[in-house]
Amino acid sequence: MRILVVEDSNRLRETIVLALRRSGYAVDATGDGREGLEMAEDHPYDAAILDIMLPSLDGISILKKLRAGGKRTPVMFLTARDAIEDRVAGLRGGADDYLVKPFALEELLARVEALCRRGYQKASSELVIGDLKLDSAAKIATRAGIALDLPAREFALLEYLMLRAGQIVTRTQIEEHIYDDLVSPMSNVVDSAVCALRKKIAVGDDSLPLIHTRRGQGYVMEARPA
Amino acid sequence: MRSIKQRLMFWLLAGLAVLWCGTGAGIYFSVRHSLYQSIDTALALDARLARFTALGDSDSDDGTARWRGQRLQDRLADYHDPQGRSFYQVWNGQGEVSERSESLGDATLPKLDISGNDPVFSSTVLANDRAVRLMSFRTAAAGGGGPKGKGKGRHGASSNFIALAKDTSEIEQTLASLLGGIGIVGLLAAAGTFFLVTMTLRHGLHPLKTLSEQTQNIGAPSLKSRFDAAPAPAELQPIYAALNELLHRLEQGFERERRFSADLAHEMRTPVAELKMLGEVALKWPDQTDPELPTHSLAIASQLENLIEALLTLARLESGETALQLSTVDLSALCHECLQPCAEKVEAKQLDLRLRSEPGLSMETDARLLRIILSNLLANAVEYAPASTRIEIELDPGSITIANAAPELTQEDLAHLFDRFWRAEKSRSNSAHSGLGLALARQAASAIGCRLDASLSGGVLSFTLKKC
Repeated sequence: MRILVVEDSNRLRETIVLALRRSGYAVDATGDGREGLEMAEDHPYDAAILDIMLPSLDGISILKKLRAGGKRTPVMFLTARDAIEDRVAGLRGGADDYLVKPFALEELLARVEALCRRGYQKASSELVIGDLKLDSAAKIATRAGIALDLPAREFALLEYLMLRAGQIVTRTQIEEHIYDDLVSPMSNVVDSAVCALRKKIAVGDDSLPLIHTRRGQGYVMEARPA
Repeated sequence: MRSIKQRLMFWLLAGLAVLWCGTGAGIYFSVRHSLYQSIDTALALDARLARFTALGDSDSDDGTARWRGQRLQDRLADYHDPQGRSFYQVWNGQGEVSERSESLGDATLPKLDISGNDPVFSSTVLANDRAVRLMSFRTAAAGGGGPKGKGKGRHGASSNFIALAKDTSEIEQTLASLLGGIGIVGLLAAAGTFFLVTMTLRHGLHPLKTLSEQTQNIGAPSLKSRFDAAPAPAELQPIYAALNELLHRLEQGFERERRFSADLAHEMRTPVAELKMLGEVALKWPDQTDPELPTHSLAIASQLENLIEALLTLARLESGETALQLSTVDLSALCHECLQPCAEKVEAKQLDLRLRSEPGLSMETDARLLRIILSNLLANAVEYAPASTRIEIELDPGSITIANAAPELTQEDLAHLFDRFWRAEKSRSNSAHSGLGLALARQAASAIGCRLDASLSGGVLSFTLKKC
């Protein structure tokens, strides 16, 4: 999952980015409103966290421009203003969520998760394909009841593939959603990550392959009858 | 007398009383005068008739004269009627009473001491309590007596003194009832005035009642509402205008306070959120703790400390609690001192600092407050001046000017410059500044008896501190 964070307080932005990255998200961040809008327009983020008061362009304006441009990226406002009219203005402006500073880290992470799910029309945090189960809230993945030990990025990759189960997921899409600007992804980064993930989810010799390669197109994750 | 009604009533009734007394007296005396005038005329006519009848009586037996005489006798009959209301009394040359009306009874007419031949009129009360109008005159030596009846004899050569009188009780009665009428009308007028004033005031003061009812409905949440002045009478329009103006100012004041509270919450929440996030991240991933964590925490704590310090100072200055500690302050030394903390930034932004001052220029003021003003103004200039521009500091006796380039500031911004937490950029891109600096500087300026003003011309923002 790739997230955009636009927050002008350096320390807060850096801490949020750190927390999100450690939770397995790919994160891009900026402190400037206009730059934030450009980034949101250029990349298909799974969610965007916007501060309302920003230099050069405020959060509500960013959201309006995004929506006017047809972008459906789920947006959460992050602000120190908690007056009801502020919240209403934010939500009316097309925001999906609203978090008032200071907030608890867990709440932020839970809300971001919910936002990301919303983008894939999933209401529950549990994803199931065959005997592979993934709980995005608890950050637990199991195969046939055996817990999988996945680093954050592999977990994110699995989650992304499972969210789009049955669909062809291109390498570019994986790059866009799993890797942020800090990683300059080569195509073989995606390939090797998928390869590593395949090995991890094959817990026994009789485990069915779940991640299938479509030559020249990308990957499809589904439980095919043997 | 606090109430308009009482005051109006008092003055109206007092004025009406004076007016009515004057008018009543005027009417009374003019009526009285004309009544007495008419009685005097009648007396004078009677006197002349009496003389004429005397002539007719003595001179001829001519029928015309007789007839005339008879008519005149009739007219004068009242003087001889025992029940009559007209009286006469004649004194001969020796001063003895020669003739008198029977109707006088025991009473006598007074013999006035008159010197000339002109008749004298006077009012008097006879012994029998009869009020009369008296005409006293002398007859010519040869002439006859008073209004005598038939068979009136001749008298000696010396002049007679004659007094004619008519009862005036009727006149007095008329006058008395006139006076009574005037009094009653006066009382009725007073009662009518009382009633009218009460009614008029009730009606006339109704708009005030409406106003007070409207005023009662105003509270902090309804400051946006205004009085509808349209139905109010013209006299109340200025009050309505003043009230609406007051509401406008109150609304602005409340809005400013509300914004301040919201801004304050914002200013406090952001650092708290930062601190909380740092702590939570450190707790969630204890094995990957950021080595910078203590540095960040400390910086946030200092920022909060600065904010609280600034707020407290501002509150103290606004409440006027600060006692001034006057001393002689070397202005250019103080400027250098205030620039110390910004030295790094000046260097980094390659700012050209120009300090122009007379050597040894000093000011008798509170050094602590002046330091607050100068350090905030200088920090502000250093912070917001674009890189490689000039900051000019001019120290003059009685005024201090600090100017820096501010290409993005508008005249509109100028009005908000001193607002608490106002920033040209609606965000806190640099959290080292609380956004209270200029508000603080202005309060401190007024505490030391100065004015701090900002002006913008040609993209240069100048702050001027002046003794006022």
